[in-house]
Amino acid sequence: MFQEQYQRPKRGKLKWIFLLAFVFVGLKVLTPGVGWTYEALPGFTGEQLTGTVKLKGKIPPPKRFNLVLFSDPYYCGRISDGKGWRLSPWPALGDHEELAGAVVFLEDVKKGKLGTGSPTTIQTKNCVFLPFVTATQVSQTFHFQNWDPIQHKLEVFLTSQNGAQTLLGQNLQPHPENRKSDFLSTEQTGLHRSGPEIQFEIANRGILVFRCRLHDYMEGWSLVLPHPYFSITGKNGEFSLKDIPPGAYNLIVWHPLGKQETTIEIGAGHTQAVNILIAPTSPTTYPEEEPMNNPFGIDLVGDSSIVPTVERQEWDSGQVKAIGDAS
Amino acid sequence: MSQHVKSINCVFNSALILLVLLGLTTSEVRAEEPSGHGIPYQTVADYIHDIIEADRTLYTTHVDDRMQETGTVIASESWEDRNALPLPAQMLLLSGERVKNRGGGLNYRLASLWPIYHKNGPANDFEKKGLQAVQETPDEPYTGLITQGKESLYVAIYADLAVSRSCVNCHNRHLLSPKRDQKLGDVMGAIIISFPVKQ
Repeated sequence: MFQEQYQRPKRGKLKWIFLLAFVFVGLKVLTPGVGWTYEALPGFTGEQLTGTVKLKGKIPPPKRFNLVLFSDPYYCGRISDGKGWRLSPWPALGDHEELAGAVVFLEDVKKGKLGTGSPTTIQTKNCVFLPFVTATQVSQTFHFQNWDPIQHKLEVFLTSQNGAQTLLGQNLQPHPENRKSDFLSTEQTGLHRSGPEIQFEIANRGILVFRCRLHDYMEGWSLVLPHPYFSITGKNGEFSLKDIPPGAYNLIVWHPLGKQETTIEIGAGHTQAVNILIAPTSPTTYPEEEPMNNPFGIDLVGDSSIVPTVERQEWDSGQVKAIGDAS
Repeated sequence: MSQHVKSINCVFNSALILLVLLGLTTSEVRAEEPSGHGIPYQTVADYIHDIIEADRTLYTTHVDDRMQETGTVIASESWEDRNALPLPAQMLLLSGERVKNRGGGLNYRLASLWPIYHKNGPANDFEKKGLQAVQETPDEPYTGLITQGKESLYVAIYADLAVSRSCVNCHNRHLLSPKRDQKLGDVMGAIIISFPVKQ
């Protein structure tokens, strides 16, 4: 049996311990997240960094969700595999393994250009958070909009090795004139309109996860940084960072699939190009792949199939092939 | 009292209030378990631990697993929203909250060095050390007497092993899980039991 011994500090020293703790806590409150605040300089110009991000290795198999176990199986099943399963969102790669939707950013930039200040809009459409990956600066605002004819229960978490902290939990109401039946009829007369918007200002840097409590397959990610030196890779894995102060940096590529770091020297007076390979690192296990008893078949909902009228998801050795358009 | 001393005291008092508000009250381990009459504290904690563990195991096998195998009702983390059964870990946490709310002084909960939610991490240094200790020596509980305010508490921390594939699967695939390589038999966390004692 372990037994712990602890000596009580002397009373005189206690005041100083509290005083130091007070200063430390005060500093932590004033500077949320890790690191110090960023100094934005109006009119600042600097150097440019461009490049591409490619995936090295196979995309791990997606998670599979039995639609009938969640709310609105027919509406949300408009994106599914046609057999009653919804696959977790995963990126389609370019012809040469280019990775779209990755965040490329510099670490520890102390001062430089002004941020855009524009809010980040996250939409729910067809039970998908769009965009899947975003990046923003501390103190910016998220605008959450529900374009579906059903309710979503939005949760926003700040992830951490010490466990996630809930930042927001709120119902995302649909537009009053959006009707689920209009999207399920053969005529497909439904229109996507945004319900009341929820605005949320982010005070901490870190990795955010968006989740819906009613539809577990809905997930979204956002990287919150203390400075504006970040870019989201485009369709061909391309990115561009502008007005960088010359110096040595740690360049980081982040995606829910994994993370890659490299050091880079930004010299004065020229544009630099860099190509980065990122290997999938998480998650490491995929229990959904294992054969398992599944008594909750789609027959339970009284019909023989859930029809993927928006997108038929297909897993084919390393790629989720999207058929149709989910946007 | 001089102005200087007054201001120091003022800062000291403000710091104390702030720390209390932030939940940073310190826990202090003061002494070995006293010898004397009655049941030793650890024996009491062992009894409680046995009951908690037995209840959870039975709930897992005879309620959660069976209800899902027969297609009756699912178990889900969002059990309230989805009209489902709580997960076994949630059942333990819910029952711990219920016991705590009775006000008798007994507390128990699950905690981990890699919690999915921050609130299920170690609450103080003692718990952190205990979680680390049972990680290395799962067969031995980590115990001690601590003070919280004016109260003396006996705390016992028992390793919680991954005994079923559903525990491993849930933690490995959870969107917010900071550790995704758990295996059967791994120490996933601990059951922390505490109750007031007279000194």
